[in-house]
Amino acid sequence: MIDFEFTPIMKMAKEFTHNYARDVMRPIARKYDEEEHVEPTEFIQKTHEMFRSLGFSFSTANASGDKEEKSEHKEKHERPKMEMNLLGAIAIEEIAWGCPGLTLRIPGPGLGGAAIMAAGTPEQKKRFMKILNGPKPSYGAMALTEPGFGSDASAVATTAVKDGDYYIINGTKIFVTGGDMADLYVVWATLGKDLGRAGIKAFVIEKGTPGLKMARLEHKLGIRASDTAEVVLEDCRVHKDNLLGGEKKEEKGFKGAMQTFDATRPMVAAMAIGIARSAYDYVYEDFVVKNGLEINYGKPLHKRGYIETVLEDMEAKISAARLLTWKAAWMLDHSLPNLKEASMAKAKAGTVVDEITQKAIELYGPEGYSRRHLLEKWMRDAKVYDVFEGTGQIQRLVVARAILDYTRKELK
Amino acid sequence: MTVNILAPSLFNIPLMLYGTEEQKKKYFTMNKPDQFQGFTSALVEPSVRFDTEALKTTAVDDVDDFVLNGDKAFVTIADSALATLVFAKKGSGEGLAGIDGFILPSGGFTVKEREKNQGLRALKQFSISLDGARVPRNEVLKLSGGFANLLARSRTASIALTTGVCRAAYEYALAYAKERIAFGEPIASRQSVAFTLAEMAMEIDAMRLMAWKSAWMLDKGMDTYKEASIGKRYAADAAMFITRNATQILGGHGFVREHPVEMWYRDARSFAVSEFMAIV
Ligand SMILES: Cc1cc2nc3c(=O)[nH]c(=O)nc-3n(C[C@H](O)[C@H](O)[C@H](O)COP(=O)(O)OP(=O)(O)OC[C@H]3O[C@@H](n4cnc5c(N)ncnc54)[C@H](O)[C@@H]3O)c2cc1C
Repeated sequence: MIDFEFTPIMKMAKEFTHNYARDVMRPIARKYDEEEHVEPTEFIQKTHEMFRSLGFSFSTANASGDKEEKSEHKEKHERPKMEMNLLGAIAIEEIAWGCPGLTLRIPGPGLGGAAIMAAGTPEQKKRFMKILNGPKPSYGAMALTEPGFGSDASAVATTAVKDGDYYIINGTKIFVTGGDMADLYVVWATLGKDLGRAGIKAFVIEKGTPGLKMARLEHKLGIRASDTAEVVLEDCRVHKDNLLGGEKKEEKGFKGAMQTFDATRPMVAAMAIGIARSAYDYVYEDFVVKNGLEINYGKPLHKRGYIETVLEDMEAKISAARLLTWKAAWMLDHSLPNLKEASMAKAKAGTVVDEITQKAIELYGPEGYSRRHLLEKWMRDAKVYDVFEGTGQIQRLVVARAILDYTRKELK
Repeated sequence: MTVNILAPSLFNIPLMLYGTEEQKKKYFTMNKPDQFQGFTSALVEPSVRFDTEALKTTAVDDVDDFVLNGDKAFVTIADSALATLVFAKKGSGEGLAGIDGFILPSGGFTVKEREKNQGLRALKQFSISLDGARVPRNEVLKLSGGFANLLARSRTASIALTTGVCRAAYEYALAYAKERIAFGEPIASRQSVAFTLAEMAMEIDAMRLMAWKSAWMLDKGMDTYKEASIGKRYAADAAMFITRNATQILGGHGFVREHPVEMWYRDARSFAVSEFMAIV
């Protein structure tokens, strides 16, 4: 069963990341929100060195660890030595509390790394993770979305045509997080529309490969410290050794993409919770800590004030979302299938974060709407958490299919 | 933009309703029908606990003048207005009933930094400091308890503004949902999308009717304070639902500036927290 007591490592990680978020990220959060597209060079370097010195790679790719090690623990019914996903969820919440845009800027394996870990062969994992965990700050991007689709990943239109030992890739990818700074891109392409899902493959393309071009950067509502790029592939030649999962395992491609999400959705949810908590903490600090408002938990509503109940409501929502997230992460640590739980966590956190950040502004009145405070930024940052890594609608579809035991055809 | 353009109404309508003949003559002749004339008003104060019923700005009687002290925030076009109507409490009057208007010429107060808001970025708002500005008696707009009526009028306008922004977002999302194909069909053919649009449409109709009913009551000379206040709150809440879901229906495309829906989401948050942005 899930254990709610933090291990010493979890405690340490939480405290450490929180302090880092407070002392390093918060002070520059507004700057990189206002100056979209300016690279936070110093922050990247500093954070990279910090995590390296700790021997800890900060990334959603912690997500999928070594499967064998995990199942061994499962059989013995013990807590694995390191519940890396749980630890990741705890740490990433704190980091996102500092600034979610900067969080996505932290170098490391990133989403691309997560895909490599989920779908790569052992040789590929070793080869690519060496690059992503190297001495220089590096980043692995995931290029799945295209202008024509986002939710429906089976609609991949980017093509991969075999040419000897190489594949020639053509297509346009949009909304690639970190697409401006990535060292590796995991690009999803189809070997032929007639092959359906089985024909969809992921290719790892290194920065500087001819034919791979960053076309432009998006202007966004929030998480503006993180750049989102359009990436164009024009006759881009990729060696067959870079086809994730290898050429033989026909099924791995598409399933691999989807498995990435089992691991990354809880992390994205944890980030959303971090944002919700920043807004909650901000108003709590003001109303409760500074101005002595009492929260009378459990008292009947007619004995309580509005703000008091709003704050309690926020706290409950954060707690609900966090527990769903921890459960999803914990299941992954224990090699339990967590498709439904990962979607529940992401769906809940994705909406809760909007509700809380919206409400916090309202509690603060016209001041809350002003850019003198970070509240308005958090509301903008929050919105994407119900969109990327699968929209709220898609998460609910996944959950509904799971509980109803319906197939993709039975429930559209 | 709209709020910039409507700023003069914040001055002119109170003047029309409560001004003396002399005041009307003076200021309405300054208004030129064929060009935009900067007139505005200042109500909101820079405090997290701003409360219209407990204004901190004071007007103290001093021989022939009133002396104004306090700070105001989010004052539309304060930098260029020919005249600004400042709302303040005179003496010890309680609540809304003790509030009067004081007309200050341009330069009659210190204009501080331009406000930076989450949305409404075209809107030119400023913080101002009154610093003991003196207002002669004949420049006082005696509201005689009429401030609640002015608020009812501004809140009615707020419901209408909200309805406009919501409609823009809804119409955009509706058109998009019918065009955008996912899983082989328009996303509008999924009930989770279609029902959301239906909910948006209902809320827009409801808030529009609230604006109309309040306006109708104002036209009849009825006390509209409650009606307009309820409507403003309701519309502001619904606006978050509507504009948020408009961005949601666009998926990732709703999060980027190429489409205007993210702007409407930012703009919408202003409606619950603003006061006196426009008036009918
Ligand atoms: C800031 C940002 C960063 C991103 N980073 C990455 C990245 O690194 N790599 C990457 O590959 N992608 C990335 N994305 C893309 C993101 O994953 C997609 O935007 C998302 O999956 C939604 O796809 P879409 O935008 O095409 O929306 P669509 O799929 O067109 O959906 C539009 C609307 O229809 C709804 N909908 C669709 N299908 C259904 C259905 N069957 N039932 C009910 N409702 C449905 C959706 O929920 C949504 O509301 C990013 C996006 C953003 C905004």
